[in-house]
Formats: sequence, C-alpha cells, structure tokens
Amino acid sequence: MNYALHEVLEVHEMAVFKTTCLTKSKTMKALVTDERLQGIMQQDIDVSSRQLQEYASILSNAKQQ
Amino acid sequence: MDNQKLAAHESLDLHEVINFKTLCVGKSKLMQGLVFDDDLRNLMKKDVEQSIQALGQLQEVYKRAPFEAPVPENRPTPTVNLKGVHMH
Amino acid sequence: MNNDYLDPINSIHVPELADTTFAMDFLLRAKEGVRNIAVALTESASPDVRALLRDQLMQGIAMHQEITELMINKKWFHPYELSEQYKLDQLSANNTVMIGKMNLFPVETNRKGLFAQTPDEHSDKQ
Repeated sequence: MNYALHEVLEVHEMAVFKTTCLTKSKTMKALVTDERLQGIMQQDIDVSSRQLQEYASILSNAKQQ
Repeated sequence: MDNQKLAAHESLDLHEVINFKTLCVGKSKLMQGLVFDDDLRNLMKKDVEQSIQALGQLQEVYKRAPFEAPVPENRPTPTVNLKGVHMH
Repeated sequence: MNNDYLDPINSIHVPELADTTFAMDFLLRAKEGVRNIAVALTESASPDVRALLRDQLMQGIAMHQEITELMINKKWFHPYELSEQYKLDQLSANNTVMIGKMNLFPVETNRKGLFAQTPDEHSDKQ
C-alpha cells in the first residue's frame, strides 16, 4: 500500500506534535502533586508512546517507497 | 530563487488554496444572478475581479510545483457518460 | 472556450466541469464541517452535548469518506497521482476564470417587485 504525499506530510506533523506532547507530559508529571492528575498524565504518556511508534512505522514504510 | 521548485508541503497547500479560490470565483459569480440587493451584488462583482487576479497569481506560482505537468486543453477523460441520453 | 456564453461550443465539457466543481465544493464543506465539530467538541463539557457532537463528528467523517471515494472513482480527484491532480486544478481554475469574466447578468437582478408585500406597510410609506 502506497501512501499519498499529503498523508505522509500530515503524519509527519502529527508525529512532531506528539513528540513535544510526550516530552511535556513526562516533565510535568514529575511536578504534579495531585495523584489523579498524575494518573491521567501517565495514561497520556503510555498512549502517546504507543501512538508515536505507530506514526514511526508509517513514516518508515513511506520512506521505503 | 524565483524559478526554484516548490517544497512538497507548499505545493499541496497551493492545491488547496487554488481549489478554494476557484470555488469562490464560481460562487460569487453565480450568486450575482440570485442576489436582490444591488450593493451586495456590486461587492460580489468586486470579489470576482479581485479573486480572478489572485487566482492568476496563484496559478503562476503553482507552475513551480514538483508534480507540475502540461495542462491539456480539456479534461483528459470525459467522466460524465452522456450516452443513452435521449435528445428530443 | 471563448467568452460568449451563448456559443454552444462552450457547453461541450460543461457537465464534467459543473459536477467536478460541485463535488469539490461538497468535499471542502465536509472537511470544514468535521473540523468545526472537532473544535466544538474540545470546547464542550456537558456529557449530552459531547455525545451529540461525537455522533455528528463520526457521521461527518463517514460522509467525507464517501465523497472522497466517489470523487476518486469518477476520476475527479487524484490524491495519489499528483500530476493528474495538477492538470485538473489548473483546468478548473482556467475555466472558472473564464466564467467569471463572462457578462452573465447584463440587466439588473433586483426582483423585489416580484414579491408580495403587506398592503398596510406599503401604503404607509406613500
């Protein structure tokens, strides 16, 4: 399956955005005292890491084209 | 710099903007036949003139897209099947 | 195409031009709708409002997919062959500019007199 150019560019932008989100969530989690908020942030970190890997695999597929 | 090819993302954005502007010209032109108020109609006229100019400039830049190709006189393939339409 | 809107030579490719234009407009509206609902969803907190917007968002995405597939099948949209798309973009721009320059409405379009008015209001102004 070949990706269209605009799709790859879109995924690229989302991956860049997700990376900064993940970095922020990780740093902020250490500074937060409320436990529930910390829990949500940890959940965000887990989900974001998985999503980033999915983006990365799409992008490496696209590079091989 | 002026003749350099455009980047991929710029070209795709241009594609979006050009199609948007094309629709704007068409709408402002055809709405002139429906509108009641003369001031509004004149404003639409002005919009058509300005948009035509803008569209021309955009098309000029779009020629530098990496996927640029010779533009045929008409659509490459007829897409609407008019066979079987009965003329009376 | 020349600038005479009464010349039948100009009507040859009109069905294609008209349908591609309307489909493109439809596609843009579907996209805009999805984005608007997504923005509204991130602004809302009430569960019922969120549920409503979420349903409409899914509906909007499904509609967008249907339009996209239709346009690809009809060869009105070429997301994978960019040179083909380039040709269509330039063609529809050229054709629409041509229509824009035609003198389609030579006489005034003010048809207010064709509509009924309340007799009282009318006589008041005299």
